[in-house]
Amino acid sequence: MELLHTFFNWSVFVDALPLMLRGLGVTVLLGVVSIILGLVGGLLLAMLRLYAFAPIRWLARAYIDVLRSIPLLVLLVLIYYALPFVGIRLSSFAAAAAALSLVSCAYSAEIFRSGIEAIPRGQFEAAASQGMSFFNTMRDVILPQAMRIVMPPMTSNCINVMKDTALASVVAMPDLLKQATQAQALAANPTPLVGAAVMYLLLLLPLVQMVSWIERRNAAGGKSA
Amino acid sequence: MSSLIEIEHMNKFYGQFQALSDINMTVEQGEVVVILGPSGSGKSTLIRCINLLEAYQEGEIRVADQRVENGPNLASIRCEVGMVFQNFNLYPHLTVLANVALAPVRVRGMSRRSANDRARALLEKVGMAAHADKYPSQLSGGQQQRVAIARTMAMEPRVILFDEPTSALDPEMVGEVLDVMQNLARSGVTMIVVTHEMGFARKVADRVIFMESGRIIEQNKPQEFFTAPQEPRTQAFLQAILHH
Repeated sequence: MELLHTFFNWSVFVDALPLMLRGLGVTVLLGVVSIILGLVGGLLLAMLRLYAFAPIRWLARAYIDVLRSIPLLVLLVLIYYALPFVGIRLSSFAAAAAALSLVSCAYSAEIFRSGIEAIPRGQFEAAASQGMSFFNTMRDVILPQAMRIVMPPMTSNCINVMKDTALASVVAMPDLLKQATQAQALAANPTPLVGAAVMYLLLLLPLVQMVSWIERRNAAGGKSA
Repeated sequence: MSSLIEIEHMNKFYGQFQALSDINMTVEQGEVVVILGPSGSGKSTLIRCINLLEAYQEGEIRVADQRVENGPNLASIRCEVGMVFQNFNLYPHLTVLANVALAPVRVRGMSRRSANDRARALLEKVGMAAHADKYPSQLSGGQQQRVAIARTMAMEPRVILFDEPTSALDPEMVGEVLDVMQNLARSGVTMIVVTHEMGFARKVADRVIFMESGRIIEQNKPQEFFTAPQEPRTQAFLQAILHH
Protein backbone atom coordinates (compact mmCIF):
# COMPACT_ATOMS: atom_id res chain seq x y z
CA MET A 1 0.00 0.00 0.00
CA GLU A 2 2.80 2.36 0.97
CA LEU A 3 4.50 1.55 -2.31
CA LEU A 4 1.38 2.26 -4.34
CA HIS A 5 0.84 5.51 -2.50
CA THR A 6 4.39 6.62 -3.19
CA PHE A 7 4.94 5.63 -6.80
CA PHE A 8 1.46 5.33 -8.27
CA ASN A 9 -0.44 8.05 -6.49
CA TRP A 10 -3.52 8.65 -8.62
CA SER A 11 -4.46 12.11 -7.32
CA VAL A 12 -0.90 13.38 -7.72
CA PHE A 13 -0.86 11.98 -11.21
CA VAL A 14 -4.16 13.60 -12.17
CA ASP A 15 -2.98 16.95 -10.83
CA ALA A 16 0.24 16.75 -12.83
CA LEU A 17 -1.32 15.37 -15.97
CA PRO A 18 -2.20 18.62 -17.84
CA LEU A 19 1.32 19.99 -17.51
CA MET A 20 2.85 16.63 -18.38
CA LEU A 21 0.74 16.33 -21.51
CA ARG A 22 1.89 19.79 -22.53
CA GLY A 23 5.43 18.60 -21.84
CA LEU A 24 4.83 15.51 -23.95
CA GLY A 25 3.69 17.78 -26.80
CA VAL A 26 6.90 19.80 -26.53
CA THR A 27 8.96 16.60 -26.45
CA VAL A 28 7.29 15.22 -29.56
CA LEU A 29 7.58 18.53 -31.40
CA LEU A 30 11.26 18.85 -30.52
CA GLY A 31 11.87 15.25 -31.55
CA VAL A 32 10.07 15.55 -34.88
CA VAL A 33 11.73 18.85 -35.79
CA SER A 34 15.18 17.48 -34.91
CA ILE A 35 14.57 14.24 -36.76
CA ILE A 36 13.47 16.02 -39.94
CA LEU A 37 16.36 18.49 -39.82
CA GLY A 38 18.73 15.63 -39.07
CA LEU A 39 17.51 13.56 -42.02
CA VAL A 40 17.64 16.42 -44.51
CA GLY A 41 21.01 17.62 -43.24
CA GLY A 42 22.30 14.06 -43.13
CA LEU A 43 21.39 13.38 -46.74
CA LEU A 44 23.03 16.62 -47.83
CA LEU A 45 26.10 15.85 -45.77
CA ALA A 46 26.34 12.31 -47.16
CA MET A 47 26.23 13.71 -50.72
CA LEU A 48 29.02 16.18 -49.94
CA ARG A 49 31.03 13.50 -48.16
CA LEU A 50 30.76 11.18 -51.18
CA TYR A 51 30.67 13.37 -54.27
CA ALA A 52 31.82 16.95 -53.56
CA PHE A 53 35.18 18.38 -54.57
CA ALA A 54 38.03 17.25 -52.35
CA PRO A 55 38.24 20.18 -49.85
CA ILE A 56 34.46 20.15 -49.27
CA ARG A 57 34.57 16.39 -48.93
CA TRP A 58 37.22 16.69 -46.21
CA LEU A 59 35.19 19.35 -44.42
CA ALA A 60 32.09 17.17 -44.47
CA ARG A 61 34.10 14.28 -43.13
CA ALA A 62 35.65 16.42 -40.38
CA TYR A 63 32.20 17.68 -39.40
CA ILE A 64 30.82 14.15 -39.22
CA ASP A 65 33.73 12.87 -37.13
CA VAL A 66 33.69 15.81 -34.70
CA LEU A 67 29.93 15.78 -34.17
CA ARG A 68 29.90 12.05 -33.64
CA SER A 69 32.61 12.41 -31.00
CA ILE A 70 31.23 15.26 -28.93
CA PRO A 71 28.75 14.33 -26.17
CA LEU A 72 25.32 15.69 -26.99
CA LEU A 73 24.88 17.21 -23.54
CA VAL A 74 28.18 19.07 -23.86
CA LEU A 75 27.15 20.47 -27.24
CA LEU A 76 23.76 21.50 -25.89
CA VAL A 77 25.30 23.31 -22.92
CA LEU A 78 27.81 25.01 -25.23
CA ILE A 79 25.04 26.25 -27.53
CA TYR A 80 22.78 27.43 -24.74
CA TYR A 81 25.25 28.84 -22.22
CA ALA A 82 28.35 29.70 -24.27
CA LEU A 83 26.98 31.16 -27.49
CA PRO A 84 25.30 34.12 -25.70
CA PHE A 85 28.82 35.38 -24.99
CA VAL A 86 29.25 35.99 -28.73
CA GLY A 87 25.79 37.47 -29.02
CA ILE A 88 23.91 34.37 -30.20
CA ARG A 89 21.03 33.87 -27.83
CA LEU A 90 18.78 30.92 -28.64
CA SER A 91 15.59 29.92 -26.90
CA SER A 92 15.82 26.64 -25.02
CA PHE A 93 13.76 24.98 -27.76
CA ALA A 94 15.96 26.34 -30.56
CA ALA A 95 19.13 25.42 -28.69
CA ALA A 96 17.90 21.88 -28.09
CA ALA A 97 16.68 21.47 -31.68
CA ALA A 98 20.02 22.78 -32.97
CA ALA A 99 22.11 20.46 -30.80
CA LEU A 100 19.96 17.43 -31.55
CA SER A 101 19.81 17.93 -35.31
CA LEU A 102 23.50 18.89 -35.64
CA VAL A 103 24.48 15.61 -34.03
CA SER A 104 21.74 13.58 -35.66
CA CYS A 105 22.68 14.71 -39.16
CA ALA A 106 26.26 13.52 -38.59
CA TYR A 107 24.99 10.08 -37.68
CA SER A 108 22.40 9.89 -40.44
CA ALA A 109 25.02 11.06 -42.97
CA GLU A 110 27.08 7.98 -42.16
CA ILE A 111 24.01 5.76 -42.38
CA PHE A 112 23.04 7.22 -45.77
CA ARG A 113 26.61 6.82 -46.97
CA SER A 114 26.70 3.14 -46.03
CA GLY A 115 23.41 2.61 -47.87
CA ILE A 116 24.57 4.39 -51.01
CA GLU A 117 27.87 2.53 -51.01
CA ALA A 118 25.98 -0.76 -50.82
CA ILE A 119 24.33 -0.13 -54.20
CA PRO A 120 26.13 -2.10 -56.95
CA ARG A 121 28.23 -0.11 -59.41
CA GLY A 122 26.13 -1.48 -62.26
CA GLN A 123 23.19 0.65 -61.12
CA PHE A 124 25.23 3.83 -61.47
CA GLU A 125 26.54 2.63 -64.82
CA ALA A 126 23.09 1.76 -66.17
CA ALA A 127 21.81 5.22 -65.26
CA ALA A 128 24.93 6.92 -66.64
CA SER A 129 24.70 4.95 -69.89
CA GLN A 130 21.21 6.36 -70.39
CA GLY A 131 22.44 9.92 -70.02
CA MET A 132 20.75 10.45 -66.65
CA SER A 133 22.01 13.42 -64.64
CA PHE A 134 23.53 13.02 -61.20
CA PHE A 135 20.39 14.40 -59.61
CA ASN A 136 18.06 12.05 -61.50
CA THR A 137 20.32 9.08 -60.87
CA MET A 138 20.21 9.74 -57.16
CA ARG A 139 16.50 10.49 -56.97
CA ASP A 140 15.17 7.72 -59.22
CA VAL A 141 17.74 4.94 -59.01
CA ILE A 142 20.17 5.08 -56.09
CA LEU A 143 18.35 6.65 -53.15
CA PRO A 144 15.14 4.59 -53.37
CA GLN A 145 17.27 1.46 -53.12
CA ALA A 146 19.56 2.90 -50.46
CA MET A 147 16.57 4.00 -48.35
CA ARG A 148 15.34 0.45 -48.16
CA ILE A 149 18.74 -0.72 -46.96
CA VAL A 150 19.15 1.98 -44.30
CA MET A 151 15.60 1.82 -42.97
CA PRO A 152 16.42 -0.16 -39.78
CA PRO A 153 19.53 1.79 -38.67
CA MET A 154 17.88 5.08 -39.65
CA THR A 155 14.81 4.32 -37.56
CA SER A 156 17.07 3.44 -34.63
CA ASN A 157 18.78 6.78 -35.07
CA CYS A 158 15.42 8.56 -35.02
CA ILE A 159 14.52 6.74 -31.81
CA ASN A 160 17.77 7.92 -30.27
CA VAL A 161 16.97 11.51 -31.21
CA MET A 162 13.53 11.20 -29.64
CA LYS A 163 15.06 9.79 -26.45
CA ASP A 164 17.76 12.43 -26.32
CA THR A 165 15.15 15.18 -26.28
CA ALA A 166 15.04 14.53 -22.53
CA LEU A 167 18.44 16.23 -22.28
CA ALA A 168 16.72 19.48 -23.19
CA SER A 169 15.33 19.67 -19.66
CA VAL A 170 18.87 20.68 -18.66
CA VAL A 171 18.45 23.99 -20.50
CA ALA A 172 15.12 24.58 -18.81
CA MET A 173 12.98 23.54 -21.73
CA PRO A 174 9.49 22.57 -20.49
CA ASP A 175 9.52 19.11 -22.06
CA LEU A 176 7.99 15.98 -20.59
CA LEU A 177 10.87 15.23 -18.20
CA LYS A 178 11.13 18.83 -17.00
CA GLN A 179 7.39 19.03 -16.30
CA ALA A 180 7.54 15.73 -14.49
CA THR A 181 10.44 16.74 -12.25
CA GLN A 182 8.70 20.00 -11.43
CA ALA A 183 5.45 18.23 -10.58
CA GLN A 184 7.43 15.80 -8.47
CA ALA A 185 9.01 18.65 -6.52
CA LEU A 186 5.66 20.34 -6.08
CA ALA A 187 3.84 17.26 -4.83
CA ALA A 188 6.82 15.83 -3.00
CA ASN A 189 5.91 12.56 -4.65
CA PRO A 190 7.69 10.66 -7.48
CA THR A 191 4.51 9.55 -9.24
CA PRO A 192 4.88 12.12 -12.07
CA LEU A 193 8.35 10.71 -12.81
CA VAL A 194 6.92 7.23 -13.09
CA GLY A 195 4.16 8.65 -15.30
CA ALA A 196 6.75 10.33 -17.53
CA ALA A 197 8.70 7.10 -17.86
CA VAL A 198 5.54 5.29 -18.92
CA MET A 199 4.76 8.01 -21.47
CA TYR A 200 8.25 7.73 -22.97
CA LEU A 201 7.75 4.01 -23.24
CA LEU A 202 4.36 4.36 -24.90
CA LEU A 203 5.90 6.77 -27.39
CA LEU A 204 9.01 4.77 -28.23
CA LEU A 205 8.16 1.10 -27.79
CA PRO A 206 6.08 0.98 -31.00
CA LEU A 207 8.99 2.55 -32.90
CA VAL A 208 11.43 0.03 -31.49
CA GLN A 209 9.12 -2.77 -32.49
CA MET A 210 8.77 -1.27 -35.94
CA VAL A 211 12.54 -1.55 -36.39
CA SER A 212 12.50 -5.25 -35.56
CA TRP A 213 9.54 -5.71 -37.88
CA ILE A 214 11.33 -4.00 -40.77
CA GLU A 215 14.44 -6.04 -40.11
CA ARG A 216 12.48 -9.28 -40.13
CA ARG A 217 10.69 -8.28 -43.31
CA ASN A 218 13.95 -7.34 -45.05
CA ALA A 219 15.54 -10.62 -44.00
CA ALA A 220 12.56 -12.59 -45.28
CA GLY A 221 12.04 -10.55 -48.45
CA GLY A 222 15.57 -10.95 -49.76
CA LYS A 223 17.47 -8.14 -51.38
CA SER A 224 14.82 -6.75 -53.69
CA ALA A 225 11.15 -6.64 -54.68
CA MET B 1 30.70 11.86 -94.77
CA SER B 2 32.22 10.71 -91.51
CA SER B 3 31.42 7.49 -89.71
CA LEU B 4 29.07 7.21 -86.75
CA ILE B 5 31.86 6.12 -84.44
CA GLU B 6 35.50 6.95 -85.04
CA ILE B 7 38.32 5.85 -82.77
CA GLU B 8 41.83 7.12 -83.50
CA HIS B 9 45.06 6.09 -81.81
CA MET B 10 43.31 5.47 -78.53
CA ASN B 11 45.32 4.28 -75.55
CA LYS B 12 44.02 3.35 -72.14
CA PHE B 13 46.02 2.71 -68.99
CA TYR B 14 45.24 1.32 -65.57
CA GLY B 15 48.12 2.94 -63.71
CA GLN B 16 51.23 1.50 -65.35
CA PHE B 17 49.36 -1.25 -67.16
CA GLN B 18 48.33 -0.47 -70.71
CA ALA B 19 44.88 -1.99 -71.22
CA LEU B 20 44.32 -0.77 -74.79
CA SER B 21 47.01 0.06 -77.32
CA ASP B 22 46.63 2.22 -80.40
CA ILE B 23 43.00 1.37 -81.12
CA ASN B 24 41.82 2.55 -84.54
CA MET B 25 38.38 1.66 -85.76
CA THR B 26 35.23 3.09 -87.30
CA VAL B 27 31.64 1.96 -87.22
CA GLU B 28 29.17 3.02 -89.88
CA GLN B 29 25.50 3.76 -89.40
CA GLY B 30 23.55 0.49 -89.54
CA GLU B 31 26.58 -1.72 -89.16
CA VAL B 32 26.75 -4.71 -86.81
CA VAL B 33 30.28 -5.17 -85.48
CA VAL B 34 31.17 -8.15 -83.30
CA ILE B 35 34.31 -8.01 -81.19
CA LEU B 36 35.90 -11.35 -80.38
CA GLY B 37 38.94 -12.27 -78.37
CA PRO B 38 40.16 -14.17 -75.32
CA SER B 39 39.24 -13.02 -71.80
CA GLY B 40 41.26 -10.02 -70.70
CA SER B 41 41.96 -8.91 -74.24
CA GLY B 42 40.29 -5.53 -73.62
CA LYS B 43 37.06 -6.06 -75.56
CA SER B 44 34.76 -4.88 -72.79
CA THR B 45 37.12 -2.09 -71.81
CA LEU B 46 37.08 -0.87 -75.41
CA ILE B 47 33.31 -0.56 -75.70
CA ARG B 48 33.07 0.91 -72.20
CA CYS B 49 35.36 3.69 -73.41
CA ILE B 50 32.91 4.57 -76.18
CA ASN B 51 30.38 5.90 -73.66
CA LEU B 52 33.09 6.86 -71.18
CA LEU B 53 32.15 4.42 -68.43
CA GLU B 54 35.91 3.94 -68.62
CA ALA B 55 38.20 6.91 -69.20
CA TYR B 56 40.83 6.76 -71.93
CA GLN B 57 44.06 8.71 -71.70
CA GLU B 58 45.31 9.22 -75.27
CA GLY B 59 43.86 9.51 -78.73
CA GLU B 60 40.28 10.28 -79.54
CA ILE B 61 36.83 8.72 -79.72
CA ARG B 62 34.10 10.54 -81.65
CA VAL B 63 30.41 9.69 -81.78
CA ALA B 64 28.53 11.51 -84.54
CA ASP B 65 31.43 13.97 -84.78
CA GLN B 66 31.36 14.78 -81.09
CA ARG B 67 34.46 14.01 -79.04
CA VAL B 68 33.69 11.65 -76.16
CA GLU B 69 35.03 13.38 -73.08
CA ASN B 70 33.97 14.57 -69.66
CA GLY B 71 32.03 17.78 -69.89
CA PRO B 72 28.68 19.27 -70.73
CA ASN B 73 28.25 17.15 -73.88
CA LEU B 74 28.74 13.79 -72.22
CA ALA B 75 25.10 13.25 -71.24
CA SER B 76 23.87 14.00 -74.75
CA ILE B 77 26.46 11.63 -76.23
CA ARG B 78 25.35 8.92 -73.81
CA CYS B 79 21.77 9.40 -75.00
CA GLU B 80 22.97 8.36 -78.46
CA VAL B 81 25.01 5.40 -77.22
CA GLY B 82 22.94 2.75 -75.49
CA MET B 83 24.49 -0.07 -73.51
CA VAL B 84 23.36 -3.57 -72.59
CA PHE B 85 25.31 -5.05 -69.70
CA GLN B 86 26.45 -8.56 -68.87
CA ASN B 87 24.55 -8.45 -65.57
CA PHE B 88 21.47 -6.65 -66.97
CA ASN B 89 21.64 -3.92 -64.30
CA LEU B 90 17.90 -3.43 -64.30
CA TYR B 91 16.57 -1.11 -61.59
CA PRO B 92 15.32 -3.66 -59.04
CA HIS B 93 12.92 -1.31 -57.23
CA LEU B 94 11.00 -0.44 -60.41
CA THR B 95 8.58 -2.52 -62.45
CA VAL B 96 9.59 -3.73 -65.88
CA LEU B 97 7.52 -0.97 -67.46
CA ALA B 98 9.01 1.72 -65.23
CA ASN B 99 12.51 0.44 -65.99
CA VAL B 100 11.92 1.04 -69.68
CA ALA B 101 10.05 4.34 -69.33
CA LEU B 102 12.29 6.06 -66.74
CA ALA B 103 15.07 7.55 -68.84
CA PRO B 104 12.85 8.79 -71.71
CA VAL B 105 10.85 10.78 -69.13
CA ARG B 106 13.83 12.09 -67.19
CA VAL B 107 16.34 12.61 -69.99
CA ARG B 108 14.30 13.09 -73.15
CA GLY B 109 11.57 15.03 -71.32
CA MET B 110 8.88 12.78 -72.70
CA SER B 111 5.48 12.74 -70.99
CA ARG B 112 4.99 9.77 -68.68
CA ARG B 113 2.05 8.64 -70.73
CA SER B 114 3.75 8.49 -74.09
CA ALA B 115 6.86 7.01 -72.47
CA ASN B 116 4.69 4.24 -71.02
CA ASP B 117 3.02 3.67 -74.38
CA ARG B 118 6.36 3.35 -76.08
CA ALA B 119 7.70 1.16 -73.32
CA ARG B 120 4.79 -1.23 -73.88
CA ALA B 121 5.44 -1.31 -77.61
CA LEU B 122 9.13 -2.08 -77.01
CA LEU B 123 8.32 -4.78 -74.47
CA GLU B 124 6.03 -6.26 -77.09
CA LYS B 125 8.97 -6.30 -79.50
CA VAL B 126 11.17 -8.26 -77.12
CA GLY B 127 8.33 -10.56 -76.12
CA MET B 128 8.00 -9.22 -72.58
CA ALA B 129 4.72 -7.30 -72.75
CA ALA B 130 2.97 -9.81 -70.49
CA HIS B 131 5.50 -9.09 -67.72
CA ALA B 132 5.25 -5.29 -67.77
CA ASP B 133 4.03 -5.02 -64.17
CA LYS B 134 6.49 -7.49 -62.64
CA TYR B 135 9.70 -6.64 -60.86
CA PRO B 136 13.08 -7.71 -62.28
CA SER B 137 13.65 -10.23 -59.47
CA GLN B 138 10.56 -12.14 -60.65
CA LEU B 139 12.09 -12.74 -64.08
CA SER B 140 14.60 -15.24 -65.41
CA GLY B 141 17.98 -14.01 -66.59
CA GLY B 142 17.01 -14.20 -70.24
CA GLN B 143 13.82 -12.25 -69.57
CA GLN B 144 15.73 -9.62 -67.61
CA GLN B 145 18.19 -9.19 -70.44
CA ARG B 146 15.37 -8.75 -72.96
CA VAL B 147 13.88 -6.06 -70.72
CA ALA B 148 17.31 -4.44 -70.52
CA ILE B 149 17.45 -4.36 -74.32
CA ALA B 150 14.02 -2.72 -74.43
CA ARG B 151 15.16 -0.21 -71.82
CA THR B 152 18.17 0.67 -73.94
CA MET B 153 16.09 1.01 -77.11
CA ALA B 154 13.65 3.32 -75.33
CA MET B 155 16.20 6.11 -75.59
CA GLU B 156 16.37 5.57 -79.36
CA PRO B 157 20.16 5.60 -79.36
CA ARG B 158 22.06 5.71 -82.64
CA VAL B 159 24.22 2.77 -81.57
CA ILE B 160 23.86 0.07 -78.94
CA LEU B 161 26.87 -1.45 -77.20
CA PHE B 162 26.42 -5.03 -75.99
CA ASP B 163 28.86 -6.03 -73.26
CA GLU B 164 28.81 -9.84 -73.22
CA PRO B 165 25.01 -9.87 -73.08
CA THR B 166 24.67 -13.66 -72.82
CA SER B 167 27.66 -14.51 -70.61
CA ALA B 168 25.68 -14.44 -67.34
CA LEU B 169 22.81 -16.53 -68.69
CA ASP B 170 21.99 -20.17 -68.26
CA PRO B 171 22.58 -21.94 -71.58
CA GLU B 172 18.90 -22.49 -72.32
CA MET B 173 18.26 -18.75 -72.18
CA VAL B 174 21.01 -17.62 -74.50
CA GLY B 175 18.92 -18.29 -77.59
CA GLU B 176 16.00 -16.01 -76.69
CA VAL B 177 18.37 -13.07 -76.14
CA LEU B 178 20.32 -13.73 -79.33
CA ASP B 179 17.03 -13.88 -81.26
CA VAL B 180 16.06 -10.43 -80.00
CA MET B 181 19.49 -9.09 -80.93
CA GLN B 182 19.27 -10.62 -84.37
CA ASN B 183 15.89 -8.95 -84.95
CA LEU B 184 17.41 -5.64 -83.90
CA ALA B 185 20.26 -6.11 -86.32
CA ARG B 186 17.84 -6.88 -89.15
CA SER B 187 15.85 -3.73 -88.41
CA GLY B 188 18.96 -1.65 -89.07
CA VAL B 189 20.09 -0.79 -85.53
CA THR B 190 23.81 -0.05 -85.31
CA MET B 191 25.38 -2.49 -82.87
CA ILE B 192 28.77 -3.23 -81.37
CA VAL B 193 28.68 -6.61 -79.68
CA VAL B 194 31.30 -8.11 -77.40
CA THR B 195 30.50 -11.79 -77.17
CA HIS B 196 31.74 -15.35 -77.17
CA GLU B 197 28.86 -16.53 -79.35
CA MET B 198 30.59 -17.55 -82.58
CA GLY B 199 27.29 -18.51 -84.22
CA PHE B 200 25.93 -15.00 -83.71
CA ALA B 201 29.11 -13.46 -85.08
CA ARG B 202 29.01 -15.67 -88.13
CA LYS B 203 25.32 -15.15 -88.85
CA VAL B 204 24.61 -11.55 -87.87
CA ALA B 205 27.84 -9.55 -87.97
CA ASP B 206 28.75 -7.31 -90.89
CA ARG B 207 32.29 -7.24 -89.58
CA VAL B 208 34.28 -9.13 -86.98
CA ILE B 209 37.08 -7.56 -84.96
CA PHE B 210 39.57 -9.80 -83.18
CA MET B 211 41.40 -8.42 -80.16
CA GLU B 212 44.23 -9.73 -78.05
CA SER B 213 46.31 -8.09 -75.29
CA GLY B 214 44.57 -4.75 -75.75
CA ARG B 215 45.18 -4.55 -79.50
CA ILE B 216 43.05 -5.03 -82.56
CA ILE B 217 44.75 -7.91 -84.33
CA GLU B 218 42.52 -8.38 -87.32
CA GLN B 219 39.15 -7.32 -88.71
CA ASN B 220 37.24 -8.70 -91.62
CA LYS B 221 33.87 -9.80 -92.93
CA PRO B 222 32.68 -12.85 -90.97
CA GLN B 223 32.94 -15.14 -94.00
CA GLU B 224 36.62 -14.33 -94.51
CA PHE B 225 37.34 -14.04 -90.82
CA PHE B 226 36.15 -17.53 -89.97
CA THR B 227 37.33 -19.33 -93.10
CA ALA B 228 40.56 -17.54 -93.94
CA PRO B 229 42.01 -15.70 -90.91
CA GLN B 230 45.19 -13.83 -91.81
CA GLU B 231 46.99 -13.47 -88.50
CA PRO B 232 48.56 -16.45 -86.72
CA ARG B 233 47.03 -15.36 -83.40
CA THR B 234 43.57 -15.25 -84.94
CA GLN B 235 44.15 -18.69 -86.41
CA ALA B 236 45.21 -20.03 -83.01
CA PHE B 237 42.15 -18.48 -81.31
CA LEU B 238 39.72 -19.89 -83.86
CA GLN B 239 41.47 -23.23 -83.74
CA ALA B 240 41.02 -23.38 -79.96
CA ILE B 241 37.37 -22.26 -80.09
CA LEU B 242 36.05 -24.16 -83.04
CA HIS B 243 37.61 -27.52 -82.26
CA HIS B 244 35.45 -28.30 -79.27
